[in-house]
Amino acid sequence: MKRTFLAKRNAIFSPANISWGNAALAAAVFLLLLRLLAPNLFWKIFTPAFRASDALAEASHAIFVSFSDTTKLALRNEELANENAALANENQALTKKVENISGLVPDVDGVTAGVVARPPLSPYDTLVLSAGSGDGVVLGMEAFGAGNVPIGIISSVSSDFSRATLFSAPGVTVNGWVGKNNLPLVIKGAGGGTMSASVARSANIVVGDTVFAPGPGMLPIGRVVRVDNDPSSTSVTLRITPALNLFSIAWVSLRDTGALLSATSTLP
Amino acid sequence: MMRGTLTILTFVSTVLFPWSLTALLALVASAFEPLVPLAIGIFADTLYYAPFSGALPVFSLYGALATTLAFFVRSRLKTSIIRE
Repeated sequence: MKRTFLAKRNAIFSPANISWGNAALAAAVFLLLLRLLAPNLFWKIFTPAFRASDALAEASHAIFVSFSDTTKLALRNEELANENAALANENQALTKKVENISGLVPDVDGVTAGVVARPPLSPYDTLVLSAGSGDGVVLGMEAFGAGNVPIGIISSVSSDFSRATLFSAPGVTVNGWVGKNNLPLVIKGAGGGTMSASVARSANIVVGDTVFAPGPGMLPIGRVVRVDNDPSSTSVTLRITPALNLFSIAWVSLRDTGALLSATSTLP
Repeated sequence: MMRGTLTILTFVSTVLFPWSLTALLALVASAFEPLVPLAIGIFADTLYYAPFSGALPVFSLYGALATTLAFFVRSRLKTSIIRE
């Protein structure tokens, strides 16, 4: 009689014993190792996925727009508002440059990088950019959006990709100014694309005042949208939103402005 | 079949959709596969985590917490008269 030896050979590794949870965990650990050991390869693999994400978002938006003229008008309004904000920021930046002669730094050339992943897909207030050391990106470069708005600092670089940590990231602080009198203040990242700062009550900062950050000169970084007033305190807390919509940013310009020296975070 | 679909959908959601939807899917998946939230947390941090200013890899930590809770709930169900 023929006996079947090792009938349960590889029983431990048989598909029936591998749950979806185990497989998912193994895949996640594998990808983590790939990210740590070969970051450039990792981003090359995932860039098409992020591009697909963008295409999907645009396609779904177009479908919804086709259902309603109101939505179309709202979209157009949003586009115009963004454009207007960008132009206003650019105008303010230019005005400040004229006012501040020391801000007229001749080095305005930089690296233009497409945004591969942004909030809310990227939940840590970071941008994944499609330009790396091969394109001239170095650690500590400052990232600027449309209208020359400073938005963050390059915190990691691989050969073809880089990651910018936004000023709104928790723990990141940057020195800046606020209001018509250019009151100095420390801007702290509050997460979720927002920032906060504390100033003396007597400074009379009001909602709508522009907040500036150092770049080549003084550049608008955001606006005061709320002033939290505690009667028992001599200072008020300013809630600041960025001058750009970080959720729809498509490209950034990277320049070496020494921002890493002024930003007091512990960027790697 | 449903477990596999849900697991893959959660992974795809990490790349394609906002993180809040991914978190919801991971929690739903944890009812069937407790390890999925941990895997998704590690995957999300692999994609997006930037080690700045002492920030913690919160998605991995939340995933581990959800996985722990899922295993705890499953163990309680096994010892009770209510079966899975």
